[in-house]
Amino acid sequence: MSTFEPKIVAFLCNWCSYAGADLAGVSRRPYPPSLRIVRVPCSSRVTPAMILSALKAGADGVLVSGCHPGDCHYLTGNLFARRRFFMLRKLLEFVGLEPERIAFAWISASEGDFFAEVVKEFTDKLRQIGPNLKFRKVLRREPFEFPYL
Amino acid sequence: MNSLTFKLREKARQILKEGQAEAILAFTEGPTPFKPRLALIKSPEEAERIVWPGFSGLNPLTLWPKIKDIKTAIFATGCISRTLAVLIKEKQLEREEIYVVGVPCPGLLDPQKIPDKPEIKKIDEKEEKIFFETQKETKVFLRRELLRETCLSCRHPSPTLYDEILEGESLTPSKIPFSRVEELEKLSSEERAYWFFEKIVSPCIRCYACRNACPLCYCPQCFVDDSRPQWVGKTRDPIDNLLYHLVRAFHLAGRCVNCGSCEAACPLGLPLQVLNQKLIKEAFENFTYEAGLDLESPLLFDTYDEKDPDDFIVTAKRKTGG
Repeated sequence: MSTFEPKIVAFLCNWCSYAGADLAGVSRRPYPPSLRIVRVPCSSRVTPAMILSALKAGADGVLVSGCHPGDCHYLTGNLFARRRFFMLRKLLEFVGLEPERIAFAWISASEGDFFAEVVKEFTDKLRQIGPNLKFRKVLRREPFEFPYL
Repeated sequence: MNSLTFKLREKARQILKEGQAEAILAFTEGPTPFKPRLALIKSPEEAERIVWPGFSGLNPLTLWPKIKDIKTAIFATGCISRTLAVLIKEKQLEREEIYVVGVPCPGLLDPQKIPDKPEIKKIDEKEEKIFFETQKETKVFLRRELLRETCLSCRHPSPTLYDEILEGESLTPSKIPFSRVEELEKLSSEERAYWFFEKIVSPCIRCYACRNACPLCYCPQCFVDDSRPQWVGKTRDPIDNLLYHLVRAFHLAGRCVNCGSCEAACPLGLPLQVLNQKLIKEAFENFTYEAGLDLESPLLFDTYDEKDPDDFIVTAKRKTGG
């Protein structure tokens, strides 16, 4: 377990969370180097296919972060996104596919400290859960056998 | 012959004679009793070909994008009228373009529930009883024994949107609309994952019949056809199947009207509708939303509420408790 270092793909909204991550860096808050940041115009730009294909490509966790409700640069983008993420989470829970691997957060541009904290906690949680084996695409011989029970 | 078939033919003749519509999109007799064919009926004489599609679970509105510049009538059961409402809300067609004849739906039947299917020569539907003629004998089944799973979970069998409605009795609305979902929710997360892999992901050959049969999957280019980025791989790797099924279900969240076309079209008989029903259930419980009941209210993802559930989102405020 000690050698496992999770990889996280983070979709950060350009206006709040990306600036929050920047602030964490500028104010020299240490946080784990597990993060790979993808800058998106708004949290509502993130689609389920993007999240799932990040996991498919081998990420151990996906962090989606946007502005606080009411602070969205596009006024209501994050409120639309919230509904979608809620439904996505319910769907993933239903098919038993580790919804803990996908985290959602509202982080504003002034919350650099909090950004570092979120990343730290998410990384710790993923260290506990272990590497992503269910979602990751590896070449397999057919017929496929269910390996997780 | 089914009494509904007579009613449909009579109504079709009347509509074509009186000119409410120039054509009628309806099911006609197909090569086997289980496979009625969709056709565009344009003259009163042709109306003799129309049948009530007892065993076809396909939604005729799938063909809608192919019909152009002709005022068309359609026989709409509950699910078809709800599909229409969603399509109209999504600006895929105008209300005036289509003449809707409501049909109180007695429920469609599932061919997979019949034992010894290949021998059957002729099928007769009479009210609550279904007769199957084989070479030797006539077998009788009760309608409710053969109803499709989606029809058993149908909450609105009567059409909600129509220009006129045929007389008749429809199925009683289901009291256990989400029984299949709730059964699975009782299981543990691992068991559900096993169910999902065993029943859907692993056997799926990804023929995309479920997508093509869905009247609401009308995108000119589906996300599975994209090659840059290529969301879904080309082989039937389980992870690609998984991604396809989850995203397909999600694209229908708040739109799916529970018509069951996907399940009826699936050559392997996979329970695809369960994923959609889960999302229908969540939309109903958390947002009191049901797709296609009227033309005014916005679609689930076209609107938002300040008070939407957000306890799954991490914020600094919630962490400090202030």
